[in-house]
Amino acid sequence: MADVIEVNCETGEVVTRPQTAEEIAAQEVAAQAAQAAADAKAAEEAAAAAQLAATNQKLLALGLTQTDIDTLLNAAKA
Amino acid sequence: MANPTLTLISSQTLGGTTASVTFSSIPTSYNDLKLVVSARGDTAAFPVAVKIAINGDSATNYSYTNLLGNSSAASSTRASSAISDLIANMDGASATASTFGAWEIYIPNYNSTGSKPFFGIDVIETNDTTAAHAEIQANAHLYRGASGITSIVLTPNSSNFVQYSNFYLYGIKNS
Repeated sequence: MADVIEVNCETGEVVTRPQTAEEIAAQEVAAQAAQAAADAKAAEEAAAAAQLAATNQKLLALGLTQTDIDTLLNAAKA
Repeated sequence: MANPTLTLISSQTLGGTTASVTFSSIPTSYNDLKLVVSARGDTAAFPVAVKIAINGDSATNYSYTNLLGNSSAASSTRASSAISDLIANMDGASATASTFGAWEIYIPNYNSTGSKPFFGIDVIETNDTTAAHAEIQANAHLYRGASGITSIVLTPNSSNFVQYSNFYLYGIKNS
């Protein structure tokens, strides 16, 4: 268990104390929420990458070269 | 013409793993506040976000907009009427050893009883081949609490601060 540091800027007193049960519980909830957000972001990025790859394949099947596709993508980004 | 002055109010270098750092009883004798931090988290994530709580306020008084970029992507997120404020990102335990995130937060007119807009910038560089393991982030913040800022609590969102993380709180006077 980590400590908590509290600095009183007026007096200069520094209190180091263990986390309370409430603080530990809040930290665990925050950690779970952060992990869920990270997982959701990773899933979103993976889905976007898969969609891009599928679209690229469709364009190749239509007869475009990869250079053509890259040129189009770069022009769209500019 | 008077010269603005920057005065160190308090500094802390952590001697061990620490769950949060609080600056309380911040004096009202300055015009602006500046917080300078070098910090790293102890959880194996990248990056690790850090929350700020002002005056112990957990009401819906915070809003922020960020712009984050690394060598492969840029993104932006926003929250309004939030109960806490993500103030910065820092390295986690999966980042290159001994690399710490660096941030600056500037809070003008912190004694105001009205809304208090402020900004932050934070950077992480790890010499890692993974593009997302280095980033720069600029943040716009607004705290709508109805009293001046007298305390600031910094808490990693999913982690603890590691030993040797540094926190400096400065006051700025305009006269």
